[in-house]
Amino acid sequence: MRPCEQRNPMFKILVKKEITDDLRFVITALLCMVLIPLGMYVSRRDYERRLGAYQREYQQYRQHYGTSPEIYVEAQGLRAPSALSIFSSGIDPFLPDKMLTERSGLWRTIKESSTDNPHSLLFGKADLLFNVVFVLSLAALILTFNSISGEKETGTLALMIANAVPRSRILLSKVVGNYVALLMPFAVSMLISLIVLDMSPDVSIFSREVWPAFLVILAVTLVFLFGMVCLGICLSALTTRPMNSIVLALFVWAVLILGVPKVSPMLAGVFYPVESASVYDLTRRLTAEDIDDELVAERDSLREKCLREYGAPTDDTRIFWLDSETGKKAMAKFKEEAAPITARYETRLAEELRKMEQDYTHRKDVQCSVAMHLSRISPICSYTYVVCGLSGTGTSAPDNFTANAQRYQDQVKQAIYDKVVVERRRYGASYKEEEGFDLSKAVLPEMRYTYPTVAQALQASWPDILLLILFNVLFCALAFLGLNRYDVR
Amino acid sequence: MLRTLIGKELVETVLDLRFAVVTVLFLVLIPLGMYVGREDYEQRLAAYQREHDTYRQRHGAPTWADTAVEAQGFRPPSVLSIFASGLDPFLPDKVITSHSGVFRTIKEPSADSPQSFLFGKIDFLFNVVFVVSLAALIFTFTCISGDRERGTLRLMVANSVPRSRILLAKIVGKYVALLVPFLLSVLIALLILDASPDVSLASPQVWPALLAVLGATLLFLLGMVCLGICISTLTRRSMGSIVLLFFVWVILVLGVPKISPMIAETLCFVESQTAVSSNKQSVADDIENEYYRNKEQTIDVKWQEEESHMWRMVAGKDKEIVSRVRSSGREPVKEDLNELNKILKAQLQELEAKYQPQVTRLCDEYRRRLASEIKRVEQDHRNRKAVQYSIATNLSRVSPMCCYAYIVGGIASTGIAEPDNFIRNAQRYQDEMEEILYSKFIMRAKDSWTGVEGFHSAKPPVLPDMEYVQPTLAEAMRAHWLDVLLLGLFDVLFFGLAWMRFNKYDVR
Repeated sequence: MRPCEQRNPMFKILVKKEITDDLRFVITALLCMVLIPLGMYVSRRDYERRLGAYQREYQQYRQHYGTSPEIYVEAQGLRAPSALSIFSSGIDPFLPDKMLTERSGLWRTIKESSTDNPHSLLFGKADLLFNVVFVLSLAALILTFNSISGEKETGTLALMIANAVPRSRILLSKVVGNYVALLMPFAVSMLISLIVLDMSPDVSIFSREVWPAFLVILAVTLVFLFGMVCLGICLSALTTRPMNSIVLALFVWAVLILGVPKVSPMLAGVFYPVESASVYDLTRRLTAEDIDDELVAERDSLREKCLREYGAPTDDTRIFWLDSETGKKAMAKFKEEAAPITARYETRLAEELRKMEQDYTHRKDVQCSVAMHLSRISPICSYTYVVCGLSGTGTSAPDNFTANAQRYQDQVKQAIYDKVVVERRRYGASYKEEEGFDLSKAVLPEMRYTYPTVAQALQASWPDILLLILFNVLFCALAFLGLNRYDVR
Repeated sequence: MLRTLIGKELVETVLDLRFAVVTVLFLVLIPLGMYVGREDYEQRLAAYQREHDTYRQRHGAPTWADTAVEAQGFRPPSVLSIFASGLDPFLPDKVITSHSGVFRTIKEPSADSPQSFLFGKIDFLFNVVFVVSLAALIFTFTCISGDRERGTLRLMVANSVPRSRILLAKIVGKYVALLVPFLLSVLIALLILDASPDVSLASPQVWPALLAVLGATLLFLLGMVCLGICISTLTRRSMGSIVLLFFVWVILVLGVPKISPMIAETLCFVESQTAVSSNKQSVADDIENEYYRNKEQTIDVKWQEEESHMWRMVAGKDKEIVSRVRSSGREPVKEDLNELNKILKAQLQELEAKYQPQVTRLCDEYRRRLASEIKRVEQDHRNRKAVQYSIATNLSRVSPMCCYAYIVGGIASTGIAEPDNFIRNAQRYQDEMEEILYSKFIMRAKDSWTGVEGFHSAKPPVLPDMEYVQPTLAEAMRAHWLDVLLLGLFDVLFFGLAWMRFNKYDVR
């Protein structure tokens, strides 16, 4: 008999033995079947509701302000929910829903307080990401924690080793067997949940936005689960009794899932403190107001100077004087001289705001990346970053919102604000259409909220994917080392 | 004998690897969670104070009151939210009252890093529900089945000790073994908390609530220990116990809380807050438009007619006077028209006195209608929400974790009742403002308002702050007595189940 012929049946037998082990498989299958489709259903409903709210608000807004806008209109941009947020809601519930453009360039964001369903907010959502990270990872560890130490205790490990099978093959068969045992219920439940998802009138899996991202998410999930299986076997190879293995497994699980992700942002905050957004917003607003006040003061003094030059009276009769020929001349001169001042202040304002914003975003980015790098010790974090990044609900989603909002602000500025001349007064301002521009025929531009494409998301999260694979290799190698030196008696 | 048994359990647990691991986990996670929560609270408090101060400085005492003045109320963070942040990150931060009676709530985008949104926060509640409950189950799952496997159970039963006493000793031993590291880490966490300049544990708002939270936690943990022992008695082998434990834990901690709101939603659909506020807005718009239409048709028409009639008459007289003066041989001057102006003024005043009360009456009537319509829409929504809410709450009470979360959230005023509490506070503030400021204006025409008699825009009232009332401890306990009772019942149930099963347990 040639060695390879002998190898295959033995390997198959070993794999089959792993799969048909015990009760754990049934329980895992049951949990998968219940939780994953249910989670998908809930997330789908949630998405449909968000989409409905978005569409309603959008239509209402369009009806009210869409065509022939009023002259002092401030266009609003609404954020359309991402269909992929069904898979992982991520920070979607915390993202603002809309932004208000402003003539000054200081757009504001608005977050509708969404406490519609306090229970689901309190207990979190059971989306696919949550199910994989919490339930399936725990299931993977529970399936594998006694694969080495348990066999040792029951004495079967010594029997197996006594056969002419190399230890690496035993390990491989354990990894493959447990992986398959975990994947079978997962695959079935995914299939059911996809059917559940596809029944929705608003979502189609085969649409261009969904299926490529979904495939990538699925692939990354498989890589992640493989890592968790390897981790479980690795922990089993590091301990001699199954009771110790389970304790170690739960400890590692708690640290990886609860400890690292939650502690790392905090550590980053301690290492690299950044003031809160409300403080930043306030300083921004105050700076803008200060500059505005300066402008008004300078214009006022200039106006006074121009009027004096032409001999304007200082008492109540000035109003009548302004209507006179000299008064009009004085005002014309004032307007001519004021224009460059206004322009100068406007560029200064823009410059200051840009500088502040750059500084703030830079510091926030640094803090964010510190937190991100710290948290990457845990494969769970890497996995979360990849999946949320693909769903457009990850750590870069706020930046994406900002980019979209800025784009819309620029668009509206170009289409409307630049075409309306604003005459600043001491109190308030007057608005006038530019020549050749008919506001009543103008249409407010629409905000096209874009989420990163799959390619972009992958580009952003390739380190995480790489890390996930590295974790797999690491856990495999550790398990291999552990088993090779394992005392099977 | 009981003491010996308890001692055995204690020693056995303490010497085990599990104890060391759990102690390390507790000592790291609980104080750390408290520290994070404290920092977070300090930041929220500072943001609240800053915003409040800025608002006070700029708008608190307006020198000129007109209809553009809209008072804002701010929600201070609750101290106990350090223990359970709950719904706090989702609640609005401020309310902007308005003339129309429809207040708006505003949620500032939070300052936290996106990671902490993505992964959630580790507050005390999270630690207890996830980590400590799991630890309690891990401590106890081998209690009976493991003892049987090793043969020690047989020896114990062979002595003249009733089984109930063995069970009791196990529960007490495990419970004490769990509480020692837990209370130690809570102590450290409280020391960390007390070191904060903004929080004082000895203040009368904090310490009774803290004691109540601790009491509920102890009750909950006792239930978890009993559950673990109960699981252990249900299985023959410790491996079976661990699988069952995993299943039960996932169902109780992850399954029930997340699924029950969904079932409630399916059973009783309620439209979202956005839909309701847009509904309210359109009702308000409709009524306002109707008011203007009605006013135009019934009052303005007559008023304007009389006014124009008067103007025509004045114009006639004007010409008459001018021609009279001209005929006397000089150009007319301002003084010549004084007489006429006086008459004109008197007549205008007369007209105003005649019609203004009608406008006021109409305005009042529509105001009342608006208020009642908005109240009706809100009430309707609230009723339906209450049904859904109670379904979700009652369903989720199958899990002791949910009962515990409700109690702690209720005490920390970040629980499921808090959004309603916010609305109540906002409504109260709106009403207060209505009385102080908004009712002092009368709509005359679209975007044209006048003050009522005795009200001067130049001397506006000082706008008070919103007093945000959080439920007191007694109120919270009254709202959650059922949950406390249920926690106690769960303890009894798990204990009873464990006792029944253990009595019939085959110790061989």
